[in-house]
Amino acid sequence: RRAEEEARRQEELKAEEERLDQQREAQLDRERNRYIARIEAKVTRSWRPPEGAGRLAAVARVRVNREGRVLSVEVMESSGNPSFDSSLERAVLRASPLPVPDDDELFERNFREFNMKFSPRDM
Amino acid sequence: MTTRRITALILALALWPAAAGAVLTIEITDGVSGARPVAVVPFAHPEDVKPNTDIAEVVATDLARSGRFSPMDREELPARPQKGGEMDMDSWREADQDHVLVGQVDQGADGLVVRTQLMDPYREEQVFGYRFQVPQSGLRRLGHRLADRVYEEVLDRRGAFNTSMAYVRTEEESGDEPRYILAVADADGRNEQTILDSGEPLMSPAWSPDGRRLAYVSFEGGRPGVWVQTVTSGSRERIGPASESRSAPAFSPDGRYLAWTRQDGDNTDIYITDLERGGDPVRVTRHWAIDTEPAWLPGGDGLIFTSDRAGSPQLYEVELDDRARPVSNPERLTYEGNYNASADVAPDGRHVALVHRRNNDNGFRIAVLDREREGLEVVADTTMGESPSFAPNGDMILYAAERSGRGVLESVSSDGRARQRLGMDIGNVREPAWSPFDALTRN
Repeated sequence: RRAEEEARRQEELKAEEERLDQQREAQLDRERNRYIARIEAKVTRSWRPPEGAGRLAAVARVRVNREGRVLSVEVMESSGNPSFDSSLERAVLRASPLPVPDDDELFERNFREFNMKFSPRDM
Repeated sequence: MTTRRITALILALALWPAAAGAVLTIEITDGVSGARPVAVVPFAHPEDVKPNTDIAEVVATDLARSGRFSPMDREELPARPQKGGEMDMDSWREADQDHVLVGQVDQGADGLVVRTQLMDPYREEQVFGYRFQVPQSGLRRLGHRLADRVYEEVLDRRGAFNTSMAYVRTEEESGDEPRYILAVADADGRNEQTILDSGEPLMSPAWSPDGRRLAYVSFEGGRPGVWVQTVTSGSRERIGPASESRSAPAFSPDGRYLAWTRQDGDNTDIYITDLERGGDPVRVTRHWAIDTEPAWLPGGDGLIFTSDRAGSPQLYEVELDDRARPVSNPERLTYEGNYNASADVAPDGRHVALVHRRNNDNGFRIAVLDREREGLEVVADTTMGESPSFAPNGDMILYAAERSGRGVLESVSSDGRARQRLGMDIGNVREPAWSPFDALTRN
């Protein structure tokens, strides 16, 4: 009986822990999306794609410090067009410092280092 | 798994770039188009050195005129460094300047020495650095060349500031007969030189592709005739007999052929002369309507011309074979509006500048026809636009307009993004023709 009770309490504790984890994850998700949007907005304002960049796309790896200051921008997947590649590098540098979350865990998890994909929709 | 353990694992992943397969990716699909910020700092010079030209101003004016740059106002420059090494990059970033051009002028053993650097405050590096030795008289041209270099570095497109234009200026002094002056000047309207001065009308200057010759129409002898003249030497030659009325000359892109219009009684058609081999001209159009103003496609494989065969002036295209003989019936290109004329084809062959009048409207606007998208866009909303002419890089259009009864030249960015117009006050001028790259003039 006691053992059963103990098992049930353990179960409950575990469930509670999971619930808290999930809650925390959901909160992190919201926070993550908020910062994705903020970074997107700031970089969009500072990106000047070269003329005729229509169907080009490139991916850059961005590293920032804890304050969001851009430490490096490295083109991982080139568009094949040097002036397009350099326009995205410039866009990220110009947008520095980037908005980054206060939450240390979220920052370390997703924002100390992340990728940016640049693909103009219609230009 | 507890939160702490997740954190530990994520931290480990973050410290291990090779394992960071699931890195967050942020996607950017929009950017800003429009003029790029650039700061052109006045070039410094010692007190005893007196350059006759403000090089920085030449550069900034050129860049602004292109519509693709917005140079920072001088009064707002955060500092006036002479060298890239002296720059406080933070202050230029705060001023939102993508590029900063600095320079200085010194006395050299033989003329002036100009040193200049284009700096990138974001990357904190030099984009280019040059040292030039020039005489005073070369400073303005040096400014145009620098503007070209900035244009090329930043936009990855060839600049066309260090080019020329030809036009016809009319001088009318009271009581005297008017004089017609065919002139060539720098693309910013400076340094005019007279090519031909005549008491009879001059019209329709057209550059040879190598920029050494000009074809034009002269009414000397009472009848319009087509002439070809070498710009530097002044030697000239009439194309065809003096008994014929010819007009609207246009060199083929390889310089071998000259297309022109012949008016014979009521009929006006387009012909092509082989300038190398001579012989009889080839008749390109054969229609009772007026066919005129031929403009070559960049490949030399066709002409775009104006014809009123459908009742109002519209643009048509005729294909040519490799010996410049017509191989197709003309095909109509424009349908929008009741007047589309004076075509000039951009170097990309896709865009055609023209004079356009909408239905129910009196204004003659400058418009660009996009042959791929089949759209017509007005780029200069002038009321009396004439003679559009593309810059050799295709990025700008020069045209004539009328302001208070006088002919003035204006230019506009050819995509219509920057519709600013720049008047050049160089007298009563008409019929501008922008030169090719590397035109050979005396300037």
